[in-house]
Amino acid sequence: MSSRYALVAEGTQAGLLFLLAPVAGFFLGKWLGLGPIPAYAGAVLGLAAAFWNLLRLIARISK
Amino acid sequence: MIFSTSDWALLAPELLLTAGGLILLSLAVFVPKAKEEFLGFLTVLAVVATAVVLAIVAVAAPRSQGPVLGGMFVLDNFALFFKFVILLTIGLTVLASITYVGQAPYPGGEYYALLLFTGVGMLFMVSGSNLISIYVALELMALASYVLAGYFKGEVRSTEAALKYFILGAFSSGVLLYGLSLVYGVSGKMGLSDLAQTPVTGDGRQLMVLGILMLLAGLLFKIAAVPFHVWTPDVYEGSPTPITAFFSVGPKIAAYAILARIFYVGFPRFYADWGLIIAIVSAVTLVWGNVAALLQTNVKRMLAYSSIAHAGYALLGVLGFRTGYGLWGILIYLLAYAFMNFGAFSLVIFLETRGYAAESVSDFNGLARRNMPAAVTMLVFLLSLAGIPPTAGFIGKYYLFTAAMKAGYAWLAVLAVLASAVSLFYYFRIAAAMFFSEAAGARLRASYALAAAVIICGAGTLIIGLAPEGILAVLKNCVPGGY
Repeated sequence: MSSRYALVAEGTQAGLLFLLAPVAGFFLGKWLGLGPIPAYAGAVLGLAAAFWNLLRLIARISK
Repeated sequence: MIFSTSDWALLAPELLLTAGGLILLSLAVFVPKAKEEFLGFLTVLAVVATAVVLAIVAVAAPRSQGPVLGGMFVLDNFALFFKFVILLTIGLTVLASITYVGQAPYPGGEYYALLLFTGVGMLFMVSGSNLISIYVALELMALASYVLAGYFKGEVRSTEAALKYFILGAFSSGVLLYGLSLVYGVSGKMGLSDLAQTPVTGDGRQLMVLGILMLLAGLLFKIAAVPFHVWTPDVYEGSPTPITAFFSVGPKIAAYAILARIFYVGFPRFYADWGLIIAIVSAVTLVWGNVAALLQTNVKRMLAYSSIAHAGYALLGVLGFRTGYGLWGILIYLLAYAFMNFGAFSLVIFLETRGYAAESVSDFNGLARRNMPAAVTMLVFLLSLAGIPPTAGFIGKYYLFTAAMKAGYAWLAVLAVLASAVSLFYYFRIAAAMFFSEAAGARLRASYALAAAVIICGAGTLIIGLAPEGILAVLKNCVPGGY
């Protein structure tokens, strides 16, 4: 049963990261105050990080 | 009560589809198993002919006259839209079934006839303007569906699916009918427009609300909303996969149509009583559907729980029907859902027809190397189901979430966004298996009929996502009771 809860927790975390990471990256880039490009770059980096995290989780579960 | 010829002319699509089903039943006796593909294409022809007749009726019939046939039947733009979507889902189901049923040791003639009879029930459902006519049409759809669920009668899971569907469906129909009886007992009316105008006060109001809630419970069963969803995973898993694909789309869309019509036309004055309940049901359905899907490794059960979650999203449109976005959201979301969900199931059918059980996510391993177009279209469907732009699912969810916020349920819109994010995990699990896992097996090719179904679904998913303005302009005229 605990592995099911762990899966729910990890899957939820991976999914929510898709929302939070780009937003965090966007505001981090905006905080730098160098125009809009760092903000968008931060959002893209956040999205990439969330995607990478998801792939790692899926690879671990599939083993 | 005397019905005019023009009233009966409005029934031409339903009558044609019924005739098609009866002809198929008769022909099935003479067509050998090896030639049953012919019956499948004949069924597609019947569906296309019905769509053409529907288009003629839509252009020729004066739709400003309101309900006809004793107030039982209405052909407004709302009903027309859903009729076309229902015919689309039946056509896609037949295309996806031709190879699948051909490979199975069961006769195909009755299968296609039952699909058409289910379609007749759904066409009458979306045109129902009287609670009794809606109920009778719903039962016609349901009875044919029960048989389709158990069509592979030699397989225990199929028989179990049919039995569970029948027992729980009959129970929910009983609850729905009891609700209808309470509504009639208090108001003395069955017509939706009459119900909206009938004053109800005092003790009668409490009974009316109870009747409305029981009616709602019966309808929530049909759309597989929590806590009336328990039949869905087992029925979806046990039924033949083309029928599972059909159940996940067709009857659910028809049930949403009557849910929207009943509560928009019949009970808008009671919004304060049923609004919060639908909000809570939507929230629980969203969360439970996505959490349960996270735990699944069986693809059919995963998509079943996914469809439960999508029932939760669509309820946001019912909640926000008094804003412009609510009804538009329901319409465009259900159209998008028809394409993307059926498309996803079509790829499961594709693997099953190529010898895979297609039950585990691992059956999708390396699909990109075995058939790249299939993997790419599956990715499009998964992205759309998750609500990622520029797909149809994103457009639909945008309108639904906006409707919820404008209706004063911002917390529900936020919860829906979070639930959509969580769904990325199990959708991407399939995508990762397709693109990043080792391929096992030779290259796979689909039959032309199944490929046509997948292409239609993929095109619909992308067109709605990339260029929604055209379809939205049409949908803005599709208000129930608006002629």
